[in-house]
Amino acid sequence: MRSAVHTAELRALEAQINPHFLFNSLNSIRGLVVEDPRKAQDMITRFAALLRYNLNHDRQHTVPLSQEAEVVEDYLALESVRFEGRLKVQFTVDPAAESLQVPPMILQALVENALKHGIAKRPEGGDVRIHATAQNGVLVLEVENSGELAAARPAADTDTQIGLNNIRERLRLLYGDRASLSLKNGDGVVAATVRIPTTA
Amino acid sequence: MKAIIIDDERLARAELRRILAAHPEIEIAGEASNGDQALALVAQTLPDLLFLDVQMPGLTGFDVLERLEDIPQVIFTTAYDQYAIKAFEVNALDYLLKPIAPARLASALAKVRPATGSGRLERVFVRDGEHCWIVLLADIFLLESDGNYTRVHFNGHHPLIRRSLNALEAQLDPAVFFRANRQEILNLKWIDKVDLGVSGGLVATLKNGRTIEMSRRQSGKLREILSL
Repeated sequence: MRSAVHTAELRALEAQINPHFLFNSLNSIRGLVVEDPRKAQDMITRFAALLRYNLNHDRQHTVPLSQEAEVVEDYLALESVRFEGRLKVQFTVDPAAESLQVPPMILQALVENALKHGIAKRPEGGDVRIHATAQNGVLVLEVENSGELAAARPAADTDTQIGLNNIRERLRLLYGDRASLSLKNGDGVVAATVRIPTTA
Repeated sequence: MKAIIIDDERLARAELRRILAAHPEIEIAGEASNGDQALALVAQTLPDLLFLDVQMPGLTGFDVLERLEDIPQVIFTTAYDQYAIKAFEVNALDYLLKPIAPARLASALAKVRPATGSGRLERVFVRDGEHCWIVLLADIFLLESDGNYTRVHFNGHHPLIRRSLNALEAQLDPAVFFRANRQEILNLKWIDKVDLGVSGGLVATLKNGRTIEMSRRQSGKLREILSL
C-alpha cells in the first residue's frame, strides 16, 4: 500500500499541460473555425480528450499504453495544426506492448520535449519518431527528434532538465531502480528511451 | 499606418489578419514567419508598427528588436509570455494574449501614435543582461562612448548598447542631440542651464542635475545654437 506522502510526491511530479501549448492550440483552433470548420470540430474534441486525461489521471498511477498512446495521438494532431509542414511524425506501437501499464503522461512528456527541441526551436522543423515495444519483460518507449542535446550547448535548458528529472523521479518512486530514462545524441538525432518493467 | 505581422504559425498570422480587417487604417505590408524574414521585411517595408510574437524558432521577438536599428512601435503577441513582456520597462505599446480578443486589439491600436515620417531615429532597443528596454530617444539625456559601445542614460538606467557613439550620432536629429565632446552626446531638451567652466568651455547642467563639459570647439557651436 502506498503512503499518502508517496502519492503526493507522485502527483507533484506528474506533468502539467504546457500553457504555451494550451493557448497556442486554442489560437490555432480559432483560426480553423473560419478556414476549416470540420477540422476545427475534430481539434476541439481532441483538445477536450487531452484535457480530460490530464485532469483525471492522477487518481490511478498507471494506465494501459494504448490509452496513453491515444492521448499522444490527440496531442500530435493538435501540434500538427500549429506546426503544419514543420512537424513530421512516425508513431508505432508494437501490438504486444499495447496492454502494458505505463505511468500516465509519461510518453506525452517525452513527446512534448521532443517537439519543443526538434520542431519548435527549428525554423525548418524536423522529424519525431515514437516507437513502443515489449522486449524480454521490459516495455521500451523510444522518442527521437531532429537536433542536438542541450548539454552540447553552453546554456543548458532548465525547464527541460526539470521535466526530465521529474520523469526520472516518477519512475524511481513507482519502480525503484528497475525503470530508467536515458538520453543519447548522434547524427543530428536526439533519442530518449524509457524502460519500464512489465511485471509489478 | 503600415504594419507587419511576425509569427511562426501561419494560422496565428491569418487569424490576426482577420481581426485586423475591422481596422482599415492599418495596412498590412507583409508577414514573416521567423526572425530573419522579419528583419528583411522590416528593411524592405519600413513599417510603423510591428505585431511581434515573442517565442519563435531561431531568433525570438526580443532578438529581432535587438537587431533592428530603428524600432517601430511594437505590439507583442504571445500565448503565455506576458510576464516576460511586463518585465519590459517602457514603451512596448501593448501586448496581446492569444487567442486575441478583438476588443483587446482595438484598445492596443488606440495607443498607436501616427507616424512622424521624420526619417529620424525615434526609439532604440537596449538589452543589458536580463533587462530589456524600448527607449524613446526623447527620454535619453546622455549618450556616452565606451569603446565600440555606447552607454545610454535614461530614467535612472544606463545600459550599454552595441553601437559606437559615432554610428549613433549619424542617425540622431542634430536639432536635439548635441556632441558635447569626444565622449558624450547630450539631449539639448534636457539642458537646464549653461555656465562658463574653469577651463573656458561651457558646462551644461541638465534638468536632473548632471553636468557635462563641452570641448572648446563645441562650446562655440553650443553658443550659436543657444544664441548666447
